[in-house]
Amino acid sequence: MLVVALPAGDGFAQEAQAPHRILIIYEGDSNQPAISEMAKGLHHGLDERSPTEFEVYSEFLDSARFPAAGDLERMASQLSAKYKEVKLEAVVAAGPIALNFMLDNRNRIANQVPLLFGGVSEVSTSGAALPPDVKGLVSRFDIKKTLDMARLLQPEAKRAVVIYGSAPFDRRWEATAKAQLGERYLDFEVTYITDLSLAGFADAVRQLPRDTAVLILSIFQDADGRKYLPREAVAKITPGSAAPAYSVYDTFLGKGIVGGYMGTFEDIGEQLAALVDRTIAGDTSLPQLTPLVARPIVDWREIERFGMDAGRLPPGTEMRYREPSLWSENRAEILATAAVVLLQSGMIAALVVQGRRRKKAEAELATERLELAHLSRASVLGELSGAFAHELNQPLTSILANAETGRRLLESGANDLTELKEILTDIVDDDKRAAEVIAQLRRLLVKGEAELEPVDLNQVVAATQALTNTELLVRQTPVEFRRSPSAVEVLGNFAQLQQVVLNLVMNAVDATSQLPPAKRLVEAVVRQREDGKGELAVSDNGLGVGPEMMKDAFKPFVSTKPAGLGLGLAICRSIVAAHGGTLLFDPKPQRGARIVLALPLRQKPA
Amino acid sequence: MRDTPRPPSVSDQAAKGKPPSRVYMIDDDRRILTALSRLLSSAGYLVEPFTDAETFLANHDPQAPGCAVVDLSLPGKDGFEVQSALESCGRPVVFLSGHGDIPASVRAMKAGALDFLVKPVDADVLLAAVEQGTALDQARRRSRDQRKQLAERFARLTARERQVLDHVVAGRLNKQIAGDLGTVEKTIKVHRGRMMHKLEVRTVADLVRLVGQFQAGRG
Repeated sequence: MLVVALPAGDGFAQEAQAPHRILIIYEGDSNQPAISEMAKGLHHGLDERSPTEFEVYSEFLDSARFPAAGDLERMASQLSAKYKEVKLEAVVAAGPIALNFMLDNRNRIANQVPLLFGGVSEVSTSGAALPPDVKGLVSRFDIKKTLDMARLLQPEAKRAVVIYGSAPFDRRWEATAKAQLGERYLDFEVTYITDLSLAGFADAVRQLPRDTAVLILSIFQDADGRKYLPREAVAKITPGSAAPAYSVYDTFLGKGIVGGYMGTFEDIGEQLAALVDRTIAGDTSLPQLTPLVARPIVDWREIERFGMDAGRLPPGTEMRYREPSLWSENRAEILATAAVVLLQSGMIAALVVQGRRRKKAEAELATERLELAHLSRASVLGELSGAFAHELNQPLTSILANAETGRRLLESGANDLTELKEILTDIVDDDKRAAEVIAQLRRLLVKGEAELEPVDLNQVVAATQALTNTELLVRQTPVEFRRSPSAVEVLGNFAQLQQVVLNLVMNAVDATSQLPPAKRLVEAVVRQREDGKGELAVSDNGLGVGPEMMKDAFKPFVSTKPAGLGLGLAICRSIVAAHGGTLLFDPKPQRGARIVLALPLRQKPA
Repeated sequence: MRDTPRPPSVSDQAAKGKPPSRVYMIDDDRRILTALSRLLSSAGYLVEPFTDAETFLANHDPQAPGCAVVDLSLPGKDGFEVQSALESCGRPVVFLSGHGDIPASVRAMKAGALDFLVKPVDADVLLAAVEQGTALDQARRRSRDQRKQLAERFARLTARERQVLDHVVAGRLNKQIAGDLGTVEKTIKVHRGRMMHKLEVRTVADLVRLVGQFQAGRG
């Protein structure tokens, strides 16, 4: 057999030695510290890998200052013209916005060129929506490993205190932390502190006993509604702290935390360089998502301030703010001790894990499912609590105004009984409206065995609509709830079914959040099917769900949302299964995604 | 959409004498709209209720006196947009909000809102804010009218009369002005007399005060 390899182009022999051309799209501007550190890591990583030479092109979307669709569109057409003649071998999107930008405009800028991404925390873009040749680095903030480090440095500590602020982003950390750490972790009794002013946080840590480990997550806003850069908030809290503080954000280093497991932006750059290298070498075995390797970093001054034994730190720990001479003096000793400790802690961890597994297996599966359902409900509720407050506030407002008007009318000696009667009727109605809000809240919070009763799917949808009204207004996503003209009666538990509908609707709403408000389209439609099933279909015009994700989405802890627990659909499906129904994605939706809940209709007693 | 104003109730007559002040009430929650409109009517205001910003702005007559009570979160255009649309006509805005949202209240007050009230709102608090709002609106209209009248009076002057005015205000005597403008004292006296007449003042002191007001009005 004769194989002739011809250069694709004009046949120049030098073509083979041409440098590898790579385009890097940064979502920020070049002066941002995060961006310049990422760039530094990338260039450093690429340089290290030569003999092969790289020719790196960098573009900056500056999306914080030019966020409009028009801005990105202009950029896309500009880049499309600019790189038309450049033979790119890989494109790197740095940051979630850059990734979405490239997913949208890939064909125009670099058609069929492998796309890599990094600086994307968790999976902020749907893993399923990614074409198979789009691969990248996913940042995971490892709170468990960070507490492991605290355990090494503070072997005697009894308590771990987790601190986070009141912003929605901070709240999402709450859910993640509670799911990962629970009430006990590594013999730490874990407690959570939130809903305080910044001064309140500072006070709280001042009063903690020395043998406590403080884990600070993010504080974008405190209970007084003041907004902060988290690192500045941390700098105000830690100085008075009686106990050592840790975090997963390297930006907090130097602001009074001891350290933690962190992936710096420079690390992201370096690890991206490795992915670029492998991709260009034609390595197709690269998994779609590579987790960012976080590493232990500490602030030496804090280690000293608390008189902690640095020898206990894992080997390879980066010590910042330390006189180099001290390190080199004790290096061997530290490393040896650390190795022993690591071995020990590894064994402890293994034992803990083993013990846990056994316990888990012993536990009744059904109980666990109920717990999960409750947990997810509670976290959805957390998100909705502001909406609930609003829903209660509305009737209270009109009740107060009506009651005061009534009193004024009576005081002025008015004898218009018709108006007084109207006022009282309105007060009664509003009072009922408030009571209904509370009843819904209770229904959602109720923990316990499901009671089956005849339920009209129309009413489930109506209740969900009432519950989400405000939230949807705030999120500028109109949802069209279409009920069936006649009752669609199934046998089920109202609260649980409402939980399912709520989840499906909020998922759909999340899926459209990338679109401009005017283009968002979410529909929840109830109908009675010919095959004797009651159906509720929720559809959206978001990015859609890929064929693999359609299966995976129902597994627990699989999530495409940046801070999602990945429990929503898993719980939904188990609830639906308990009702003898099915919950499936429509394999061929007209647009976006469409998920269909089907339940057997209730057999009417003869 | 526009809600029909409620007919004045019995108690409206309690506020005898003055014609009722107008309040534009905008809230997308129809029940709150009714309740608050009822409260304001019972205190003698003529309420014009709306459930959204677009309808209100489409029907809004900048010439009509009165203040606006606006819910912050409305479907479509929100309370802030209503406020900025009303800025040109100087109509005072009292905000209502479901949340005691500090950043929003700061933003509202900075943009010149009269007050920022959190629901459920106390009747006395709302009525006090609305009273202040309508009073402020009246005061603004009155001073705008005065400024307009003043401008009209000054517009009647001829160029020569204006020159004479400047010199008089500067404290020059007729003879000196004649010298400055290269004419005789008698002519200056005639111009001066016409100027004082057109500006409807008798004494130099009144004239100086009037010029001061006019200049202040032009800011």
